[in-house]
Amino acid sequence: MKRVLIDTATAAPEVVALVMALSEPDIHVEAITTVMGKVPAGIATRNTLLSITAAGTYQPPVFEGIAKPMFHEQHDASLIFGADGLGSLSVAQHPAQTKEVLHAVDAIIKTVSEWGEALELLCLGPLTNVALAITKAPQVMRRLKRITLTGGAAFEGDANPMAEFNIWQDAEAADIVFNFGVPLVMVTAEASDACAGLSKQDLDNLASGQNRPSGFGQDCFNTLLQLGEKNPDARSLLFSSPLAFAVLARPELIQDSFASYSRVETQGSAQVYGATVNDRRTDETHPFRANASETIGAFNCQVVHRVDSAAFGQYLSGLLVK
Amino acid sequence: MRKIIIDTDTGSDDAVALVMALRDPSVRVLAFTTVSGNINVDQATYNALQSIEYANTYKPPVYKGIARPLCFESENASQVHGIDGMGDVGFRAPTQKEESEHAVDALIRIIGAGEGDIELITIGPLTNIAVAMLQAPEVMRKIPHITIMGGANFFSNPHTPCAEFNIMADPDAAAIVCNFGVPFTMVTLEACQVNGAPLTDEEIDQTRAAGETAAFCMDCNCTTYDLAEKVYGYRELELPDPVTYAVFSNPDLIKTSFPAETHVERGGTFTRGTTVFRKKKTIFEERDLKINSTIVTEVYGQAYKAFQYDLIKD
Repeated sequence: MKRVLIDTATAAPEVVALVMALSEPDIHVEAITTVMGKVPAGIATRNTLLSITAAGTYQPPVFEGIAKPMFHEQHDASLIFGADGLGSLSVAQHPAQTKEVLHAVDAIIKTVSEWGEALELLCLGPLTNVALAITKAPQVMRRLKRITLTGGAAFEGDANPMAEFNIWQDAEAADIVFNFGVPLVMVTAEASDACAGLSKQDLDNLASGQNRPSGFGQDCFNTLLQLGEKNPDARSLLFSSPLAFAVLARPELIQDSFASYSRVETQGSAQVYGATVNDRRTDETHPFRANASETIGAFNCQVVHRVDSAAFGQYLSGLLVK
Repeated sequence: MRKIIIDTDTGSDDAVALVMALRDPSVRVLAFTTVSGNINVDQATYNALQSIEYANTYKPPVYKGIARPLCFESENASQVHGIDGMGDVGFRAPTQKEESEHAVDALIRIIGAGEGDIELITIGPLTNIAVAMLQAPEVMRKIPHITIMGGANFFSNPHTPCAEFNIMADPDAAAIVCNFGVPFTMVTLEACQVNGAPLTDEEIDQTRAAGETAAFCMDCNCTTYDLAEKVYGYRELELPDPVTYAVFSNPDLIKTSFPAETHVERGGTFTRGTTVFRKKKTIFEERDLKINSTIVTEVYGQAYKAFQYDLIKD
């Protein structure tokens, strides 16, 4: 069983990811921390609590985190997901649980120090909480063996030409995490864009299953598909978080990925802010480079850009109807 | 017949492109202008004159241009092209001399005297072109189209993770050219690397045997293919500038391309010199898309090589 801490900016896609995680018997969610992202932090917290209620399995503690990117104002995604982040998704009106008093940054540090290398971190939003935890307690955070994240672009962004939305939201925080040294698994915009195409058959699978609560799985799926139809240019934002969870739980879904030394651009023009610069060169593959004294950083990242979308659809619908 | 000026930092693969242009019956080369890049501008000028000598056709004037990038010093590529930029082979000296006029002045004068029908091909850093655009924007706006060897689509380039050499060598100049308003085609580095575009060991030998000019075209690239042999165990020759010339002369050779609003990043810790291809307006961007370029990412490798071979053989 994998022990996981999930850091999340919960809107409709993250509701789906959280319900999946809480329904997966091979996973135990130790804690959930929230952060601003597609929605403000307060709404992310509320949606997280509602997701736990909707999942109806167990109740990990929820800790609220940072409300603003490190150096600029938040750009939310209310254009796509609405002010409450849920689109037309109906979850319970009243969560059966309240958030904890402890700040998310401290909760991350506490949970990592408790479980160490037995814990995996899954990040479904901007990396602001994690960056601050790394800055505050680097020795504790270095015990993590891996961080899986929704975000980054292998070749092409969805927020600007080169940046993916979550990274673009707080590029400085993201680069603190990328530069830290704990290996990353980046589930990119490209990987999730391809999954936005799955649909009708998976929907049928959901309809034929035993829904819990009644119709909730279908509602989740319908909501994401409808959002995709309304916002074809934002398709990559819809299934990215469910996919990142799926990749953590079922790495065999990965069809294509590459190792790289990845860093995040925080300087320069708006055209490149938040670009995940994936340096795949090695001395062996790129002997022609001009500056032979230039050192290429050790690979820190697995960049996942293609997954088995049909198998992902089955996995997703299987967990939602459980 | 198409009229062209080629701006070049003549090192090995430029030489092949120059020879091809001079032997292409559908094209008249009005001038070569030179710039620092692969090699310093003095050597580049000498190499351009030498290429004319070995092309053995007509002799367009050669104008020497700018010796350093606009804003910051940059690196050259002597590890790929040899110290003289031509494989250090010892070719015979050219008989032609360079003109006394500056390349930038020559560009402005020739294009100004034309009827909006003179096209530009650039196979080096864009310093001369940017300065000409700053000095005489109205004249330079007469250029109908620029074909640029430069830029990169994917993040797998030899020099930095995401910048290609010609752009990286002077990103500030490249940004001026991209924003200027004359539409351009960018033949990216990967277009010259994939789909069978590089010459194989056998093809190098076959071309070498096809006369003095063809032998010159191969031998001046020996530093590149010897390096490939040392590293990979076999000879292979990527020729970005000839691919670019071929695409200019015969657009049917393009296999894959896309329209884009292209910007060159001038700042950035990791991304200076990156060609940013904006293909769509994302939901988070307010500015509408303004296409200024065609980005070529793949050519028909065999067809390109046949086109090249036919031009350079005796």
